[in-house]
Amino acid sequence: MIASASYTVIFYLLAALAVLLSLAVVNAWKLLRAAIALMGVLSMSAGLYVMLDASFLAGVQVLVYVGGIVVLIVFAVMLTRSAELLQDNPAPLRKILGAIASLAFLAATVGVFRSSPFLLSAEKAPLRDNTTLIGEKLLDYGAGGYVLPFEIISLLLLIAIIGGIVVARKTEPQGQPFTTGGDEAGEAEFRPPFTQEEHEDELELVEK
Amino acid sequence: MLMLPEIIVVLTAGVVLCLDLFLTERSRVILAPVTLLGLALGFAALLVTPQTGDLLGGRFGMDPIAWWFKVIFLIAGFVTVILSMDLLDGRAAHRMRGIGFRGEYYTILLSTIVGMMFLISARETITLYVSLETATIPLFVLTAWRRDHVQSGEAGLKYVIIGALASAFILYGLSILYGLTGQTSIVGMSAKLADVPRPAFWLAAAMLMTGVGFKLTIVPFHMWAADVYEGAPAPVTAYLSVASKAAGLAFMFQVFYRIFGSELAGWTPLIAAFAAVTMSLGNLVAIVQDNIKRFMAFSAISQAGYLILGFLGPADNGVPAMLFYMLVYILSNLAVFACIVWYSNETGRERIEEYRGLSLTNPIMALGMMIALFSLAGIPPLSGFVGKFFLFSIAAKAGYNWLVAVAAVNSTISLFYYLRIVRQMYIEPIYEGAGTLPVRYTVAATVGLLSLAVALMGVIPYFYETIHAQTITWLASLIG
Repeated sequence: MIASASYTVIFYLLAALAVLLSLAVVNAWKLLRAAIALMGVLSMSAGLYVMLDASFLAGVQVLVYVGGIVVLIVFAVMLTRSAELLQDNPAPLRKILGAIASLAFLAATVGVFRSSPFLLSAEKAPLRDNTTLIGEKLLDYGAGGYVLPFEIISLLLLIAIIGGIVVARKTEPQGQPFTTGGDEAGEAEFRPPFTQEEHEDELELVEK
Repeated sequence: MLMLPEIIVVLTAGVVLCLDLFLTERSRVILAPVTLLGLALGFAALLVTPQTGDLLGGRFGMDPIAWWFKVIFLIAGFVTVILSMDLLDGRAAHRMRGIGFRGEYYTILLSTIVGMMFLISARETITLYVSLETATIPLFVLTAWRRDHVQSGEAGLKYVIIGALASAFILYGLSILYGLTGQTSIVGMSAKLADVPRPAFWLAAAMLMTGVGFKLTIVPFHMWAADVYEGAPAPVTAYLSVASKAAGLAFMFQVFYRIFGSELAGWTPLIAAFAAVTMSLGNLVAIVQDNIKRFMAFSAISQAGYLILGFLGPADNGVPAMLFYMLVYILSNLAVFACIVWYSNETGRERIEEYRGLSLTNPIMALGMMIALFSLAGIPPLSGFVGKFFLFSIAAKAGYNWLVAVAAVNSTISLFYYLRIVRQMYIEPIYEGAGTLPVRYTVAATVGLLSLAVALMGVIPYFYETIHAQTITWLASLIG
């Protein structure tokens, strides 16, 4: 009795906090505050996963989202000095349309979920050892296994890393004679900075 | 053995990436031939691969539809590499800044091809979703490849945001379906669909339709296309306009025929409305375009409108008609883009009016481009006409005569704006002092072969007959 009551209390606590923090994410004027609030939202959903006995999912949620993605956002905010740039004030019509669209979507989703029974309830899911089970499923090449998406995802991650590096890389790699706009004479003199410090020194010189 | 083409393409990606490490900048010109060789080997492997069967306990399946789609993806990739190599190797007369990193470029291109090949062979929704992402996420990077070009970066960013939105819709739809049926396998999902409560099912279907609409640039989910096509480097635009569209169609086949198969008949009014809006808007906006890449974006939108006409009829007519049209469309579009890329490489010109006098300086290229444009417009006896004819007849048989009328009017409009380019090339006076532009033999061969294929596929019924016969066996296995 007490156990189930406290379960309910904790659930509503987590849910309410998640909703409040989500509002904070959208309404924060500073990007950094929004990022921290987002961290809270994601932690709350990790808490909800724990309550559903999905301990693996909760761990992944904390590791990847809280520990990885939000930290990355914070890094991006700090490095680009754009924390104060959020002064976008959309037209009232846009605000109203946006509100209508999101409320309609909320109403449709809630209505649909209330009226439809979902087959997967907590009783059917394996409660214990689901981390082990997930591990086995991911490497299982039989009828019920997921080795193929597991392998494809590894390719996807590799490509995403390579692509991210290429797009974000600031300097031309040394000696790319064909690709710097055809300015061969300039290319001979063109030396990309070798280290980050040298690069920053150069930037300072330019600023002066 | 069934997965051999995919494995070869993945290995090629790895080889190119590692080879890039050990080469000096000047010797990196061999990367493009290595990539082409890998794709050709993949194609050869595809030819000897059996057309039916499955692997990994039924998680990876091969059937004639998947086979034809893989042919389409490999051709698109092969031609894109040919179109890219002049620009990336610095052989273009008009050089673009910020284009480099050849090894990475080809690796990423190869991985999108692999993603698409897995997409059509996926037999459960997780693989389906993961391979869809593998097919699209590299495209964001390729779009932003002109790294010091503002428009390219902007296009990449827009594409990331819209692509993520579309993926979110698809993922949401698939999760709802999983929640309703408790199955990740497509067959299992489809079998349980009849007992699923309707409101939730409609929500899932709407989500999936929206996501697919973004991928296939169906109005009103098309708004990203023009900016992305314009900002991306020209060879990447070529790839986007054919391969990402083919991948969208492959995904649509997977979702509509395999998962929703039994429900599809009730949705035809909606699909007809989407088709009508898509082709009309694409055509009307294309008329006023000035930049040829933007123009091709709207042309591609209107072609997507014609394409989904095939969903209106029964699958045994619709599937081969759509596959055939897709094949025709990618060949025609690639031929047009081969000329666009070549012209932009040689002169840096990308506006439609700047194509004037091309027939006098380079008559063969102008002829190839004209044939491909006429095929896109659907002029008999070119293959574009035949493909459109099959699609329109499906709509007519399904009782959508008004839609056929709309489509016919749209074809006429499209003829008008495709002729704008032809007029610039053939009638408008030439630039003063313009001489013959050099054409590399690879580009010439590509344009020649593609326009020959475009012309012949309309006359020789072999292709359509083969596709039709093979898809019939596919449908028999799907229903039976």
